[in-house]
Amino acid sequence: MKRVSRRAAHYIRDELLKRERFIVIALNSGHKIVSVNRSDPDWNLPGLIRGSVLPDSLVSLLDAASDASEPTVFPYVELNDFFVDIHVLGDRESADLVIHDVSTDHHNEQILQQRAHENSLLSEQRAALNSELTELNQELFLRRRQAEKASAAKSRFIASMSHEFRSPIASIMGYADLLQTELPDSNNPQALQRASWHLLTLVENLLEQAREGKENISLNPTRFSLDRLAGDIEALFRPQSTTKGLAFEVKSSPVGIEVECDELRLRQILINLVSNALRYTRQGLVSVHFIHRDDNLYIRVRDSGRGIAAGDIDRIFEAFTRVGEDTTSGAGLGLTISRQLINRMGGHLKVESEPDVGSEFRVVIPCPSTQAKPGEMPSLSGTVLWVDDDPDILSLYQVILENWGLRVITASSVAQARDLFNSNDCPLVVTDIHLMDGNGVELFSHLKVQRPDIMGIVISGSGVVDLTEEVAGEGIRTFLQKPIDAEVLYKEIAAAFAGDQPEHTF
Amino acid sequence: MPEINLSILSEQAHQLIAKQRQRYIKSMPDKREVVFYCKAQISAAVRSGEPDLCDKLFQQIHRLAGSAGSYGFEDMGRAASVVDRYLMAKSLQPDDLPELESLLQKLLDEIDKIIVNHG
Repeated sequence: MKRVSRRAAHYIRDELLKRERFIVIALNSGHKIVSVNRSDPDWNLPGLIRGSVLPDSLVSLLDAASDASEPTVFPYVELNDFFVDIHVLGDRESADLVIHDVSTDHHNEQILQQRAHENSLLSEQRAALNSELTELNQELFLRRRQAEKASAAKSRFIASMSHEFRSPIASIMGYADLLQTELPDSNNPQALQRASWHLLTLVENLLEQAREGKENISLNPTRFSLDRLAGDIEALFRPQSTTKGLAFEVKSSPVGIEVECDELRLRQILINLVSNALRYTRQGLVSVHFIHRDDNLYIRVRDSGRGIAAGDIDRIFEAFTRVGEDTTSGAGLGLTISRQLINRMGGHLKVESEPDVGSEFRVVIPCPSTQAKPGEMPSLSGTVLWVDDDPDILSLYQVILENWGLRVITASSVAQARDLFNSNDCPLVVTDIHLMDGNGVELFSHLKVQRPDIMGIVISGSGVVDLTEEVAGEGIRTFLQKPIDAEVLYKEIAAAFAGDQPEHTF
Repeated sequence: MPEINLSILSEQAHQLIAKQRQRYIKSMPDKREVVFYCKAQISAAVRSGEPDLCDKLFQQIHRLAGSAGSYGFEDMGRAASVVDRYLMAKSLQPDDLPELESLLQKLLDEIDKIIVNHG
């Protein structure tokens, strides 16, 4: 410090003395205490009494500093539970000891040292943890890469298997279609088709399970006839229900409607639900009802089987789980997959069941009906025998009816019509009145003797046929005059196959 | 082809029917030949009472009456229907020949139009 005024110096001294505690001891050559001055009268150290000899512990310090020409400081001397700095001023002849209480400083320093030590330890621990964390992250990264590779490999495998299974099944279905055209009298191709659908459903179930229920089920909405779907389900499960002696019914409402949703997934759901119903029913009835209303498809599968206890209702949807006595076949995946698919399609599934009474599964799936696109009508299903001796008419209406989904058998004479009728299942006969070798009405009457339930439409190029009530009451639905309006023809054929009563226009 | 209202059919069906129509048009010369031959011979056939020739004419006329409108040729269809109803309504006598020939000529004219305009 530069030279300060006496006043400033006294002030600094006074302030220092307020904050710090000093004991100043004056000593003579014999180490006798000449005087003791304390800045804090409440602070004293034992043995520091005027006139007494300096305590031995302090004498050693005097000896150590006796040759020093400058003041000697002995820091952090422990003295009676205090930590003091001892400043030795003077020489052998006389000396002053300035004892400065630094206990607080010492304590703080110790704390700082301890904290520094602790910080050092923490730093080491942190470094060790960081190192461990880095290793873990690397391992995690590697394992994630491995898992991703495995998942990608599994996805490729599933996609490959899906294709591997679907391709031959699709081929079987295609050949079944061909066989149907080559063997129109046989029901075996249709049975082959239905079995193929069943197999495809089982394969899809397994593949869905392999995907572990992830939200990657792709949907492929298509337009299809609800009647045809109901018919396929009925035909698929009729043999099994008959074998078990069960009543089995499938109903669909309204008739002749086309809807749009993923037909494959819907078949999967239905096959799973109906399979279950038949599997767990020993006597009574299994019924399947489709109702389309307000762009929703309501499905109800009801059975009179052994039922499900209330506590098991949720368990039946767990994969590979079957409740009750495990005496039945099946992998335990059907209901699991069905619920996943229903949820994926935006629908929901409810179950009501009572043990020993039966179960009812109710499904609602959004499924808009399709307005016929301009130029299209909902497809029909059935076989029509068309009799006309004009090949131009036969070829034209064969194109039209086949475009509607009908199977058309053409005949150009009464004789040919009889032969073809005998060798084909033709529930509907459309015949011109005037044929080369006979009359169309007489032909129809003859055919009706063979098959009383056949239906008929009579066409002619001129005039209105004078039919008697008797003939009109024998299944001839209506008379149409050429050129036949396609829409009128469509409605008449659709009504015939739907079983609607004809409105005679004779 | 408004007569049979093909609006409810698909595009694919329209294409198939268009092909059918082309085949029908290509068959017009053959159909014309039958009608022309019968018209030429009808007088002798009616006077001699030969049923076969008449039956062949009736058959062709009846078919044309039924098919022409179906393929969109309404005028030919109407002409054929007139002849068809004429033939069905009566047993032909020699006095009927001038009127019948006139009706047949109208039918031939319509067939010619199709051959000329669409063939």
